[in-house]
Amino acid sequence: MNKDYSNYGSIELATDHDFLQHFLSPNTATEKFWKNWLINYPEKLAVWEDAHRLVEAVQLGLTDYTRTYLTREAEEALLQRIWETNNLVAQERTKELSYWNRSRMMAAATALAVASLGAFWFMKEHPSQKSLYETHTSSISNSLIEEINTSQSIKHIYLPDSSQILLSPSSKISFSRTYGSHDRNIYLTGKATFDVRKNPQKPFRVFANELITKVLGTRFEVSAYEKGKDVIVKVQSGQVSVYQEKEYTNSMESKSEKAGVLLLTNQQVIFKRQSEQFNKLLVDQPTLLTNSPAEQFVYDERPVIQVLKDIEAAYGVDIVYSDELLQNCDLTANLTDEPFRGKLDIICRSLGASYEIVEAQIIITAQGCKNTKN
Amino acid sequence: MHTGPVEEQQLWQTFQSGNEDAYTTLYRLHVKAMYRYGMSMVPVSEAFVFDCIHDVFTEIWVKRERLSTPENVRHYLLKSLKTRIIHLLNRQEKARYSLPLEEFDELWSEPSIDEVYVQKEEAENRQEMMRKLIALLPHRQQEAIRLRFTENMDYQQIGEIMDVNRQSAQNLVQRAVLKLREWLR
Repeated sequence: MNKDYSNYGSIELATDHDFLQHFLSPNTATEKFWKNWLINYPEKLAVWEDAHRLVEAVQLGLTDYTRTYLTREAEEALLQRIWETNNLVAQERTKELSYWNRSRMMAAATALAVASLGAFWFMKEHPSQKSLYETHTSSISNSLIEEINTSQSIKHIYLPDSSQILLSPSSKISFSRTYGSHDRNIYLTGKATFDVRKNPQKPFRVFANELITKVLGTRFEVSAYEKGKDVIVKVQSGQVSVYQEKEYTNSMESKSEKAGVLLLTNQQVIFKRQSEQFNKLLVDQPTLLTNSPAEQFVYDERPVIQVLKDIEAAYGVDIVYSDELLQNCDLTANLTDEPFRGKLDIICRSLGASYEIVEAQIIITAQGCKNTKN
Repeated sequence: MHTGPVEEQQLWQTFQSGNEDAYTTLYRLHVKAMYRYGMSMVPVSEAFVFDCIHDVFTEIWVKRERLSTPENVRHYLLKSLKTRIIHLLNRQEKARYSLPLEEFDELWSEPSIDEVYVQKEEAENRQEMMRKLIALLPHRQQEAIRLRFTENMDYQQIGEIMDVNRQSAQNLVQRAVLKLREWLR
């Protein structure tokens, strides 16, 4: 920003890239530059304010455009459609004969289950070689449906209760042919995302390595590779409880749940298999809650505390800060398109503050702001 | 902007190596802006806009190994979307969209003082007034200010999307702001 702005009129200023960059996405450097500029050119204050008003007016007029709203459902449906096309293209390329019919999938699932029985009986001969997955699947009845994803892309599996599984490559799941009649148990090795139809009468359980993840109806991902050091459960919406299988089998269910970890939306747990420790964290890229009260994060001299409250509510996270230090701070910014961490970055930069994420909480360390109003 | 350019390019390269999570993350980061921009170009048909977004994403998946890393991913995706939309409009709907988009502005005539006055009077609040005044601008000026003031693109990027040079892109925005200020007085 080495331009000489001293001859700029309000139109030039209002359409200047650096001025707009500061207005639309401010940081400490731009903040400092414009503050100094106004100190050096006090006679330009009127022009600066006029430019400011013009930009605000244009933005106000574009509000409807900015708010053009894509529903979460539409976003998900489109993503699914994109993946279906990608998978079809991939299948055509490898000239696979087993074409995955998108409308009715259960017939194919049964065929795969028959194929897997051979392996199952073979493994039974060598109990010491059994993986946890095989132990799980051999303990349930023979009427097992198994899905193996040997492709390079995600495989969609539709369960009889219209829950869905997105199975990652090199992963497999199985479930009983009687899935849904007594229980909803799924056995996993590898990684999968589960989109579970709500049914409080029949909890949905995923058995993966040493862990059981239990939910009523939600969307979450379990990553549990046989040779992996960790088991990771990430919650995309709703809440789930995660506990060790030995707790589950050794005690009554109600008791065992207390020994586990409760995860809310945008939280994950990493289970260290060696030390049997649970570590609860935020997911890397938290997303807006499906019932988020806010979709837009446009602020004009809004108290920062209010902004932080909006973010807490929108992402279902806990933010820890000092009310006293932040009470005089405010923020002017449009954070709508920023991902979660981008929002925190901008807020912290404007405050000259920093944040860290400890367990599932965000802790903001700030110096506070002087009361500049009046 | 939504993320730093370095992180953005890393994400892009991870996607290029075939990482599905990275691809899905790209989708989630940009689909809202693509939808918004697509709907501003073709407001009559949401399904058509969805089709075009679908085409852009499936195409980059197929071609992922051959793509270069864009300097600005958002800009790259919006430009691809616009190219796709115009391509399909030209091919499929010749009868309805017989006029090339650039020529719409030739038909634009400056609204009279009375017209501006009526729009201002009819609006129930300032937001509606500004919306109505912006709607009186030539289409390309409207597109330019959306890219500038909502998508926060620089003039070089706006120029590339709108097929004009940097200076012309800046002129479009300046003329729009100048007009709006005149009408506001």
